Amino acid sequence: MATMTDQGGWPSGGDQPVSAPLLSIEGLRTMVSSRRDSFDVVRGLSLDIYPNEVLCLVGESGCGKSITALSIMRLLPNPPVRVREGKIRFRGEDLLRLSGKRMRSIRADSISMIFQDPLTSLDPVFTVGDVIVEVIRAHRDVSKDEARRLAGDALAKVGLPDPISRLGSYPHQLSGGMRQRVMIAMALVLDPDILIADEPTTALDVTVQAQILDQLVTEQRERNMAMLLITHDLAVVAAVADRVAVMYAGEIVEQAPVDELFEDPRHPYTQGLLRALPKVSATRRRLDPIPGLVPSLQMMPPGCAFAPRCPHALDRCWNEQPELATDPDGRVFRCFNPQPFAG
Amino acid sequence: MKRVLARTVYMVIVLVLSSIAVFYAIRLSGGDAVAARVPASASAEEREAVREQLGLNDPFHEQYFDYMGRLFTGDLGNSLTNNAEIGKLITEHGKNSLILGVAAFVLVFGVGIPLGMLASLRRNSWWDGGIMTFSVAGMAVPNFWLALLAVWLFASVLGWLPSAGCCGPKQLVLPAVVLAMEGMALTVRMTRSAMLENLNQDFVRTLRSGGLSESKVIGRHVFRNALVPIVSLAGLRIGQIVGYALVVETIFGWPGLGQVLVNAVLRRDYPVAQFFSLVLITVVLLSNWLADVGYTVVNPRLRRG
Amino acid sequence: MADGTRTHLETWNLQLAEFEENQRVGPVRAALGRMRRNKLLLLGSVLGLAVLGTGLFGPIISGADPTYQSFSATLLPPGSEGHLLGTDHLGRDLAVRVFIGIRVSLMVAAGVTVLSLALGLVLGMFGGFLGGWKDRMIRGTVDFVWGFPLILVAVLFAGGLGEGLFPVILAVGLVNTAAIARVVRGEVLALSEREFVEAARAGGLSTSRIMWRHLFPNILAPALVLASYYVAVAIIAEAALSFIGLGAQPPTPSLGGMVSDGRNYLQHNVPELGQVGHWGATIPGITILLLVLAVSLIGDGLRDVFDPRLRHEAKGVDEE
Repeated sequence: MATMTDQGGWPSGGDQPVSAPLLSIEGLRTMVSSRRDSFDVVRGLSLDIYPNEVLCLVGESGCGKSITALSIMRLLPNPPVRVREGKIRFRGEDLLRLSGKRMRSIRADSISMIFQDPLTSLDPVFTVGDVIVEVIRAHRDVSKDEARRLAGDALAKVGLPDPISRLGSYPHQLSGGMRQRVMIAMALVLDPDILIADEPTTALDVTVQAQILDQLVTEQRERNMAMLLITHDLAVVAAVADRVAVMYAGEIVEQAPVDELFEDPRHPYTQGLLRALPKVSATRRRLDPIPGLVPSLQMMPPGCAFAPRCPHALDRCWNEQPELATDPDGRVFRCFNPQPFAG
Repeated sequence: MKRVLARTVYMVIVLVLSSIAVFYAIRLSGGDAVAARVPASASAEEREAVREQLGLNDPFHEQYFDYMGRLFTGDLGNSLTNNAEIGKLITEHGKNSLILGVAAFVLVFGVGIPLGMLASLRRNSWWDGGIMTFSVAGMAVPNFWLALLAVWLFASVLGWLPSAGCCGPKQLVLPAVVLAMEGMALTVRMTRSAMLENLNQDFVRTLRSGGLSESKVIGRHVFRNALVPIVSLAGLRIGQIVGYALVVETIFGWPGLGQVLVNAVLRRDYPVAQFFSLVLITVVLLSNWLADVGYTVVNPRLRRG
Repeated sequence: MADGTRTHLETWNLQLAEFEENQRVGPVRAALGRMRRNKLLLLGSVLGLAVLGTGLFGPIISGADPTYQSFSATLLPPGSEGHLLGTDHLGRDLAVRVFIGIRVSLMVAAGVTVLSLALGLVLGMFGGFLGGWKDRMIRGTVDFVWGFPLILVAVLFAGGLGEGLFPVILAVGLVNTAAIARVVRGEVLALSEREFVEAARAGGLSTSRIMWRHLFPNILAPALVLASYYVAVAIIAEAALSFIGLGAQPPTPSLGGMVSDGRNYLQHNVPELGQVGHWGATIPGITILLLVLAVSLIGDGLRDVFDPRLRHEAKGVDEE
């Protein structure tokens, strides 16, 4: 399904973007500090999000995907996690330097976020209606009744059955899928420009996952909104992404339009990820896991972060860190010794 | 609703069982009730006559129903020591106990909760350190000992407050503070930990991502969630106030129910001891029940099903 | 190149292994480390040993009679000739009486702990493991007792059984039993879902065998930690009850009773001195304070070291 959107910032085929990025992250470094030591979990990440696109951020758990998202929203659990350096530009402002008040006015109104576990992410002692009304009234000068009407509309729009009476429900009275729809309604009620969805389907039943994903894509299309979808599930990526950024150990190792990435991945880590997908159609039915373990962020190899697991690592890979660069084909990845992909 | 109903039924059953237990316990030592009414030189026959007259020879359940029947008609009998009507004793001293209890209750929650919140919001600051030190001290110092220190300091040395007496505001200060101290210290600790626990919950992040102000997120949402464990233990706190009132009223000579009960037990004034025990048990059970209902109100997860 | 790569990888793996070795701390070393870092436990232990030692050996060393009255030596201040801590209003030596008072407190605490631990373990384990109506019965009773204020229960017992230490031990013991039974039941429920118990059940072991061979050893540690916490509660309760005259009866010296004896002179002048005399109340009072402090520090420290999860239960947080 949807591999591209024509009105998107990135037309298919991997040309240069036609419009300016909506949000751009430049050299983001986010660190965790404890009494014993401190280390970066996001290590100089740069990423642009264009209007109307679905950008998927992919990587194994612990690679810094969620921390990146929370850095954008300025919702890092500080202490122990905080942004050390970098810029996050949005509409001519650097989000990292805004006042708390200005940042609050951007949240939900311009940039919204939905989280992984919809049960723990909703306040258990308030009705979902109360909370959505509060979010609306934090940004818009409307009466309670008006806000309640808007909240009801939002719930109806995300496909919650019987939305008006659901306004009076507590989270524990809803199923997992319904809770996630409530989260989506809350995130979209003010029509934001960007929706950040952090593993929105991971905690749900498989059957519900597809429905929620479908809902998200529908909303993204109808609202002409950009979506940053964080996931570790390549099937989800194939289904919804326009563009993909692959993260490994706190940095981006490759980014490409979704077709190119799946057809011709350049970075050995991306290649490994694709090779690890179960291939039902293939004659040999076996999984090809990437050997080795994700490095501990407290103890990184001196050169390329992927070198210890890479089948093609050179001497140089052990000594020098490759930059994220664009090759003559216009492909963007971080590798000294790219090899052709043999799926 | 089902839960409230179940708790109500439970409370009534427990109340009946306790009344039987108290009745039985007092009857066990009923021989002294006879001794209190006859001269030491009385013969066995005379004693037996008194036993008969007091109904002590009837079967246990008859005595019990007889007593409960008299309770409901208001015929509570008289004290063995000063012959005061028990019905009058209860209204007089009940009022005093109520004043003291309400004052202590207000201190426990009205002061304990704000202090706990302050400590949690200024975590690891001097405020936090000071409040938590106060809280630890409040729990470690036995209240009768605190009472003596308070009397010594404020009555003997400084002369600001009377050391005992009843029932003006000046006389109320020391007993109320002493009575409330432990509960207040516990409430501070609990509020602080419940606030901190809820501040780390995922839903706080969601509310912040919705652009709500910190005062809304913390003052409304985190606080309402923190209230759940605080209210669940409010019944116990009230129960503890009733228990400590026995000691504190005795020390400060505050003429409340607790003082009467302690004196009645010391003087083997069985009719008074029996009735006042029942009254205090009822107060404790009622407060536990109230806290249960309150818990159902603040915790919507219990309201249905 | 292949050789070079292998060397790189090998070097890296060695570095990684060394790093991980440095990060790793064994469970025993971790517990010891926590214990060493736990200054409160250390302080409590030292204090506890000191108070305990005074209670056990003080009377032997001193050899004086705690009930010996001397009307020529009443209300002597601390430091008087032959009376290190002074004398009370009947001329009894305060030091000796404090020593014996500590013994009484510890005796009550021991009685309460044995009673509540034994009964609490049995009720909690049976309730949690058997389930069904038996559990509901046990739970109803336990919750009922738990909801009752200690002092009121003790006064009721004194009303029924007469004053003295026995009803105090019984009352405090029963209320603490409820607290311990509640926690033990929770632990049993949690353990019952763990694999080793499931496996034992599936393997056809009898109920009693599972309970004693598999559950009991796992529950003993948290129960002991909790019991140590309630020792302080028992000491305070005994002192308070003796203070109002319902605990230890004269001539048994009890710290609470001694505070009560001395309180008059907090407000009234000591004739020989012409001013108020605080020592009759403060010396036993401070002793109670030190005793409670020592016991609580030890309890808190043990809890931190062995079972940080119990913090909530000790405060009485009710997890529904």
